[in-house]
Amino acid sequence: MPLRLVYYGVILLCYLVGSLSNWAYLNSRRREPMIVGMAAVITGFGFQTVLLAVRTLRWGRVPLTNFYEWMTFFSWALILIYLLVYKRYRLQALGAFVVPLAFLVLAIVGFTPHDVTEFFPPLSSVWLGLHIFFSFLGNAAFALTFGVGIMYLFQQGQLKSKKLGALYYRLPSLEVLDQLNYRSLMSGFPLLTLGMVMGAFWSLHVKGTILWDLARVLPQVVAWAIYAMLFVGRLGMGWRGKRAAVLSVIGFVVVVLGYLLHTAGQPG
Amino acid sequence: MTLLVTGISHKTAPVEIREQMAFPDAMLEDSLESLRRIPEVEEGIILSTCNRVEICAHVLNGSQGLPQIQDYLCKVHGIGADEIGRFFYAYQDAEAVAHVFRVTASLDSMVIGEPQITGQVKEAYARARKCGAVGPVLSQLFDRALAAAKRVRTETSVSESAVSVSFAAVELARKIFGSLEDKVVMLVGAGETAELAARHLVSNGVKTVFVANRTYERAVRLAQEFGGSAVHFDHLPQELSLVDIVITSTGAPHYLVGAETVQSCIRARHHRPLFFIDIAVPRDVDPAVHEIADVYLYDIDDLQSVVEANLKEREREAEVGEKIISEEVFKFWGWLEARDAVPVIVSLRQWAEEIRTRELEKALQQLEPLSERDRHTVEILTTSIVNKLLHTPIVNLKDSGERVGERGHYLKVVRHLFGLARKEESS
Repeated sequence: MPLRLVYYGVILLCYLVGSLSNWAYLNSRRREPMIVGMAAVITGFGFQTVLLAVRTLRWGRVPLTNFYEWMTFFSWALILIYLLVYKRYRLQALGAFVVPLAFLVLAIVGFTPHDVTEFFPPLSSVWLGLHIFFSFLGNAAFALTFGVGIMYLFQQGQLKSKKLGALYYRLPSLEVLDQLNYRSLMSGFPLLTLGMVMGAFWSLHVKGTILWDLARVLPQVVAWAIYAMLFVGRLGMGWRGKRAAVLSVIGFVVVVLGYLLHTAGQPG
Repeated sequence: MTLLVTGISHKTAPVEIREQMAFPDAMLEDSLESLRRIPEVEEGIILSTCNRVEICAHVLNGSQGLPQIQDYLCKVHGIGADEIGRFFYAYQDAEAVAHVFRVTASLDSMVIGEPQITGQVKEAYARARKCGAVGPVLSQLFDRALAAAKRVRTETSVSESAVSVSFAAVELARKIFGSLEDKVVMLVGAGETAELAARHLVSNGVKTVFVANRTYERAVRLAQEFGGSAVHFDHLPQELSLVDIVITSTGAPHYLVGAETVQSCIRARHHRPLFFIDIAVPRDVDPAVHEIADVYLYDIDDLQSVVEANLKEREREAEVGEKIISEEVFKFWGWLEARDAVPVIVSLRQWAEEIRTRELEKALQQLEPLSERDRHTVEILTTSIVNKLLHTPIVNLKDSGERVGERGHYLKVVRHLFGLARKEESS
């Protein structure tokens, strides 16, 4: 078995353990699953970082050339953001909503063919590299916005229904969740915009037009428009709370659908 | 040597009995003195709270000590044993230890996790210690009980969720707003629970309090108490958009706050959440208000059911607390048995040494006179045989075993097999 697959298996296992322990934590609030979960996530993240670094060094470029690599990078960025947010906010419930996403993304790419050879010749273009880098970093931030949005809706549901279950006790306050939604949106949106601009440059450069493939570009634009609306709404019109949470969730669903379409049309 | 706990609590006796059995503060020291004078009692502590009266004692013999202590409890309060005998519970040894640990950690309380009991145990321990009623065993027991209680408090959330209506309101506010530091509270009307809730909010960080009342003077007086400001009752709808938390408890026969007022107010607030705590009966706030996005309305019944949910949550947490307690009981019991093991090990060594010297003397008398060097060799030979034979049993006696009471059992067996009991008693 190639070493790459062994690494992949270890990382996948780590994130699976991380997801399950974080769920166990939500249900029990024991320290043990929390500690196990954190240890598993950090181990997985360490492996993933090493793997990314090795590939970058070996090929002399950031490994962002095919679907497999994009998704690996996305899950890595997602865990990185999760760890940073955890360090800053100590939001113990967050892991249950973010780590499973990283696991899922990795598990899905495991079932898709992933040649390490470059299948997209113009990919050597700097524009395209930057487009992909920024877009995925932005989307990792939106994945956090998504997770936090779901947490907000759960917590609000508890408070509105007045039936307080385990989630009421484990989830943080609406205010904290709304703040986090705001901050991850504020960092995600500029990154995504930058990514879009880079993509447009590349498109003009290589294809001669921005709208060279509507099926691929449209969902991206729709997702961007949703986030732009949310961005402007939050900054300019004081949007917050449930509306912001719902839009964050919808935005991310569109992003995911968009990527599925984006790659479905991919040769290879 | 036996550890005993006996007494009555809210679980076994009604309040009429508990109040008769309570030790008034002034009486406690004399009572500890007379407890110590009971022949079987080596050490003793009296814990007297409104929910329990119990004595924890380290006695020479459990089966004689228990009736003596229960007798004492009856006599000291002038109550007949036939009258209250059926209310007594009694625990011995490991069960007594577990009971003390559970009580101290507030797992045996009427409201599980209430924090006062730990302080009361600490106080009872300090008083007994001051009177010299506590020796090495009970001081170890209570030090460990207090440490175990701390573990339960920090490792579980058994004391966290609110169990009173006014605290439940504060907790809900925290779940909505996070920090309460920059939040503004309005108190409308002045019921006792409402005032209490406002007070809790202030002690949780709220800095600005408005008070509205039908009688403006009353509002001014109450506002002074909170360091807030009074508001004219008629200005209520306008003021609503400035506040985050509204506590109402007026005697008004109809709704003071309607859905339309709140609807326009929440728009003006850009959907910053608004939390109504309606403690009035009949209610002051139209229930339809709760349907508005980002507005939360909890009436007295809602708060009551939050309290009930919290109590259930505490019970779930208490199960984890019980696991911590059994770990700590096991550790304490290990310490106690190790302590008991010392005299057994000493007499086992003495027993062997006596045999060795006696037999050595006999042998030396029968032999030709030995040179100093040969005599020394024989001495070393016999000593090392004895030491090697005893090494493994002694190591095993020092080891705590896997279950509570396992080593106690071994100690008994060793005493019996080597006839040590008689020796210990005669020495």
